[in-house]
Amino acid sequence: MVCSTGALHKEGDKTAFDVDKCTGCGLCQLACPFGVVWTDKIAHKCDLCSGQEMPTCVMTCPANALSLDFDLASRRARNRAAMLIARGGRA
Amino acid sequence: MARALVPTVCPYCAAGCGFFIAVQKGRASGIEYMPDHPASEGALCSKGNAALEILDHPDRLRTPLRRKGDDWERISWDEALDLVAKGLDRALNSYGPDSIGFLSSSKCSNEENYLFGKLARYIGCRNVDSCARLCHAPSVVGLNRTLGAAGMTNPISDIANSKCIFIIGSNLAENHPVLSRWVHRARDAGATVIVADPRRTHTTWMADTFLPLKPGTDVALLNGLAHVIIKEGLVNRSYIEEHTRGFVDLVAATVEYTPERVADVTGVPAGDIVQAARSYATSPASVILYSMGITQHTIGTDNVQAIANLALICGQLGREGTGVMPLRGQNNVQGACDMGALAEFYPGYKKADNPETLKLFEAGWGIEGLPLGRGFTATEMIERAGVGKLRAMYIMGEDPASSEPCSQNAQKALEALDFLVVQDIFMTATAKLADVVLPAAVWAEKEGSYTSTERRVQWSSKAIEPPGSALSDLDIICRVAGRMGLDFSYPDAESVLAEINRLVPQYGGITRERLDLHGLVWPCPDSNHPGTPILHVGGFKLDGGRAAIVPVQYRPPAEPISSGYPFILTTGRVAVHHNAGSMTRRSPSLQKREPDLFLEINLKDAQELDVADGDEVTVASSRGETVAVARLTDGMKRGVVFMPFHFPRTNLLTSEFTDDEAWIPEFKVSACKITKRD
Repeated sequence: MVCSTGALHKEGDKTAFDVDKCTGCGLCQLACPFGVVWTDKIAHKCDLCSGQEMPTCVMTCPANALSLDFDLASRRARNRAAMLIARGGRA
Repeated sequence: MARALVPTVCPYCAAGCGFFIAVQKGRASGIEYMPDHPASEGALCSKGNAALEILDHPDRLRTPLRRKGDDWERISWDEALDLVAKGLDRALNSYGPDSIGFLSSSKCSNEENYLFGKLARYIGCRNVDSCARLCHAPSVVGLNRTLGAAGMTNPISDIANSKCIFIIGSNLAENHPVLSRWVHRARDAGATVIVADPRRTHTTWMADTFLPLKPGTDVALLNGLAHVIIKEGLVNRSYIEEHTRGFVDLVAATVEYTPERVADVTGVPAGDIVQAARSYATSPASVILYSMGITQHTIGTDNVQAIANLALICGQLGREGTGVMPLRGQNNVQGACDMGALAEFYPGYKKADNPETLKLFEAGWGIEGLPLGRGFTATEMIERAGVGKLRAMYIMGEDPASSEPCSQNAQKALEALDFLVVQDIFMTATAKLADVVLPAAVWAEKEGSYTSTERRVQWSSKAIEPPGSALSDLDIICRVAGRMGLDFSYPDAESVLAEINRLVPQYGGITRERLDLHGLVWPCPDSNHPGTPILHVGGFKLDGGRAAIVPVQYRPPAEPISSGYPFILTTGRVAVHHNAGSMTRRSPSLQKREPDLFLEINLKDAQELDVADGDEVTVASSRGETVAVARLTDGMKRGVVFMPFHFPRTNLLTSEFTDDEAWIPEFKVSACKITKRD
């Protein structure tokens, strides 16, 4: 949204990055609450290991905390909250 | 450029994660994951991902070395082998076979452990042991006695099928990281997770019920759970009648362990004890995972038996999602035990004090006069070296000068030996005390089979050549044996495995040809057998097919706190380091993340001592003292402090008291005092 040159743009569900268009202004870094984009001279962004069956970080994560199932994390958080309520708020 | 992918097994913990080493121009250029691996599904923890960093490390030993005063002289293999053969022969001839100690290695392959033990016993020496003594010796004794087999009863991936996971004395999220994925998977399917631990750890974050017990009070807690289960009629009557003996004794023995009394002893609220007992007993499939928080006690064997009792009275064995799971620490500690690197066992857990065992191996090895009776354990060897009764030691891939309790005594004892030969990959604290140091290959520089904690035997292939003139441990053992006049002509690991197939029934069908990428799980008696992922299906291999319920009573730890030493020191591991640290502390990416020895202490305790986070403190026990950086946390109980044992100075403090059946030292409870450094 903040990218003025269209270097960061949508390709389907994913946010893609076109390095040739980047001016290194750094607005994207300020905008991203997760720190997914960072800049030195130009912006850098994870491409989910495009071309691989699975991103390396997901593959190697021992606990399977990282996953391509975007609902999993929220399901786990909801379960945890529900459990807390069921036990009367005791952690 | 041609790039070969060589399948291998991670050299760190016992989860047995597989991966590929990418090899280009004879050098390891990177790691490729193995997504279809049955235990890890391609995952690797920080240690596994950094494993290649030690391959071409500048500190690697590259030539045999001889001590020359305070210095080292490089010598040829020929000279080195002569010195070793002479050193061992001299002790043998002057003082007899009991004057020599052999320490085998949980880092080495099955074939190497098998041959190392064979070498010792060939020359009439009973004293073969390994660091399994320091981690899971009580599991071997306790589980063999109660269930008739020492090992994880169910596969790692089967944890996902469990409906109640009880983790006691294990910080698996840090120490066996890939196991967490299976615990999470079970949780996602609705399983309850109970964690008992004196510390709040990464593992307790997974818990639905957290039982923060005082160190060393596990028997009280476990008996308390049994008490509730019996009192509320939650036992599995038909399972007890059909498959066990001794239940009546357990009822009598646990009658006093009411939740209220147990709460007094353990510090765990009575209500949580009742809740945990109900969850475990009533779930359709419950599993117990445990590790060194259970075993490293003077009552380690009792702890293990109390766990087995709990599983037996609830019938939580022999099915998917159930079981008793000792999580072992090193890549091949299970295999080292299987291969007889324990003072009381020949390969295949054949008792060393049984004449039948000797007959079997005398026939198998074509030799007469094998020594009868158990040998001295790792800890006893060090003691005897200290008083001049042990004169020579051959240590392969172990670092007792760092890993033994009260390690300054261990160092003195090793210095007192007439002759010490150490075979290792780095100049460890133990190697520094040696007369001769032999340079060994690491896992990726040799081939062989390794047995993971789930009894999975996997083949690891050779990816690259060892540095300098270093040789595989298997090669070195054969050469030493040859120089001592024995016929150990094995061309490769495969030929040793073939001998193991003949002599170790559990490994009967685990041949080289059958070991593909995913290995085989023992017992696997013949070449058509598919392996046995789940033990105790339909019964036990003990008298009458019944498991033994062996009641135990709570006894406090050997070393009580006192006004002089008011804190309980407990030791353990962190995610980025491994055991005595000789590998991980040389691995730059890991060392960067955890460079120094630290002490975890409760916020309020620290406040009373005027210690702030990051302050240097002196930690002292009656045996020694060390300096550590304080980390303040509310995850420690008051009066309890924690230090990781990956840094050599931790064991200057630890307790030398041992379990009287498994001879494991009580690393988990030492009395200490803490003072702020100016």
